[in-house]
Amino acid sequence: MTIRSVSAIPVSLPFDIYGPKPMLAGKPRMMEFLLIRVETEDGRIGWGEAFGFAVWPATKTVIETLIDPAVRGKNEADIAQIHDELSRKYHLLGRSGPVMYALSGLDIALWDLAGKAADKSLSELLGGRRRESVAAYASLMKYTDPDVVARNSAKAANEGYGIIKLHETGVEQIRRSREAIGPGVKLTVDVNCPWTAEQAIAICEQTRELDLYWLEEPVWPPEDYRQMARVRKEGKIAIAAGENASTYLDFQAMFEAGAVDFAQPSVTKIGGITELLRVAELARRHGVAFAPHSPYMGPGLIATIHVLAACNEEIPLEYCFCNVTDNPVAAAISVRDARLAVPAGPGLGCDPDLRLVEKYRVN
Amino acid sequence: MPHTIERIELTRVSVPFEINGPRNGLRPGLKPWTQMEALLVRVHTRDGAAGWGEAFGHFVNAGTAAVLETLVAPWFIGKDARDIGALMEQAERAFYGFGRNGPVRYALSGINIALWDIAAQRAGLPLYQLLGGQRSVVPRYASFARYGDPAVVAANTAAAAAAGFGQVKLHEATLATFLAAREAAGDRTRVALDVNCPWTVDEARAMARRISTEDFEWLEEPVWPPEDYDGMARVRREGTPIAAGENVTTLHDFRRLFEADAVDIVQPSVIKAGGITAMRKTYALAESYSVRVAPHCYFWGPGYQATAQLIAADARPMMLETPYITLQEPGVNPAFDARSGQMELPSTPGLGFTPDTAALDRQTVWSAAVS
Repeated sequence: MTIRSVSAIPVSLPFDIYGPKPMLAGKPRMMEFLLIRVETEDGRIGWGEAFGFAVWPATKTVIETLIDPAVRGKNEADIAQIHDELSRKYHLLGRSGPVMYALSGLDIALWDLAGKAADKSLSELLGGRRRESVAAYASLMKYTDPDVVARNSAKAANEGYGIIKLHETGVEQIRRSREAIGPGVKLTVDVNCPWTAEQAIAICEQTRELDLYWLEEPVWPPEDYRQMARVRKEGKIAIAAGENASTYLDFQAMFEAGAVDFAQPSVTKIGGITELLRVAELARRHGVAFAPHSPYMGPGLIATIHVLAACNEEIPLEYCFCNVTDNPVAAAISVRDARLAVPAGPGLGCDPDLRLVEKYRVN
Repeated sequence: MPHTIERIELTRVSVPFEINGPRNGLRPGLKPWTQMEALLVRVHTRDGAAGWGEAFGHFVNAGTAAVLETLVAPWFIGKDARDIGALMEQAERAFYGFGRNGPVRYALSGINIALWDIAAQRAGLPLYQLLGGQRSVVPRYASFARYGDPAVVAANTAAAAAAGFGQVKLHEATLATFLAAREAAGDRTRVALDVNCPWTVDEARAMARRISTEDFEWLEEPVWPPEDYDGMARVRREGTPIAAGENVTTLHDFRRLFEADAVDIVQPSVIKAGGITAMRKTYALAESYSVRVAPHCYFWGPGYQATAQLIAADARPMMLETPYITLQEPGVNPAFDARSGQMELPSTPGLGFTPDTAALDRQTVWSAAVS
């Protein structure tokens, strides 16, 4: 069979994060994702997701002007070959960023098609469905107001999450969270690259008694692995990073610098499932824990669930702590008791509800 | 405030071009590449000053234009155009999550160049003088399109040498074309090879060893993937000088490239890596590792001018990569041409990009304004 078309459908969903929405790149945060739809000549459809948020217009343009013309007529089963060919053909146009996000979304959709063709769930294709559900950790958005942080941390703990991640940079906010959840719940903090190593080490000292499970992306710029390693060593704290890494060799540089305990490639950014698996294997060889980044609510999250379901290790899924209205893939990404069921159907196991896609489609 | 950024115009310009040879080599199996596009950025400040910039490039221009229109250019509206260093730092922190290497960085590069154009105009100096240079003439090297055919490569090498180019660069990947150029170049003209990441490390090593006695100026981007710096370092040990850098866009990645001993020559691209601000840092870093800088420049517009200005400002001599093409609408950049081996930089203040606006309009395929 051959690919007839690849298209990108931006969707923006109403959502509630139980507090004021933070800003991202100068705009209020939306729950946007970019669905990638691959259709074969015999009318089968595969679904993927490319990293969305505020940059989807560029990714959509790349899908339409570069990816779609390049893959028409290719065999959708040649996932590795297509990944390699397009990576080589478009390497000049950015080894991270919208072109790589587009390739990521395409790759996920091709894996969906592969599962459907084999009549197997993606987790089975990826090495075996070792579990029927995965544990999730609550990824809270940035609230800034310590009262809101405390309230939502307690809410997450009450909902059964054994790990909570904050997106706060203030010691007070982190302390209030720890007070709200008690000592038994693991607490991680994702600070999104704000600090020098010295500043990060100071925060580590100030939060020592709060027993953080990991500190994520502590230094600016994100690719300064030497300084990150310094924070790890001198801050005496587990470090997590990887959502902004660019190809598996960037992860190799990160590991060789001794920068991280947890590697966090993002399936909708790094190059899809194909590249995610490569990074997971690299992490294993370097003795680094694999903890993929996935604070999105579309096929990219479902793909991550399947990858984790096929891992030997128990790895928690990053799950956005929010309430999304009318998610077209709600059936596959509903959380109960802080766990998500691994979809059983072929491929990703959840085609988007097209009525909802049409309703919330942007433009 | 007079220096407030008030308006940013984005223009995609597409110009037919000739390459002095058959086109089928350019992109085998694809439609012939007949138009060279540029994504132009024009930043206007409240006091009426305006600067030109360019964001990379070629087949991702539509994507980068979308980034500029919807995300990056709006962020710069209302900011102080003079505060270039601080603005770039803030912008990088705002947008890093969308790719440290790719269209968002290209967008930032374009705006950065435009801000430097304004700064140089305000100072009343051509940009290279603002950057501390005094030399107004830069030598050029002829950067060939991919021809495929060794006879065509040889003919163009001879023609470029006759036109006074001190160096030609091939975009080929076969020994036959390499040797054809070497022979046609004779003693006076250097030959550099750009292979664009085709080989495994072992394949690259074998080629580098084979050509190590042929006196090529450099072998560029020999290994796939482009960020395999250790692999490049192994190729370098075979005796042919190695060049790379057009796909490297952050200072830390350049540092890793240098620490791996991967290159003799580094080739940052001003419209990919963050504009003039980033290039100055990269030049300094390269010097600290004793690596020569030969900036990447396969474009014809403000990016070409910006690269020329950087070369003119640098104390070390270097040639300006000049696509060996003829633009069918030369008015889009009167300062660009591939007929001679030297460029005299304009003495006008600023970047020196002074297009014929009618020509630019004729070749415009898309435009948008952000304010």
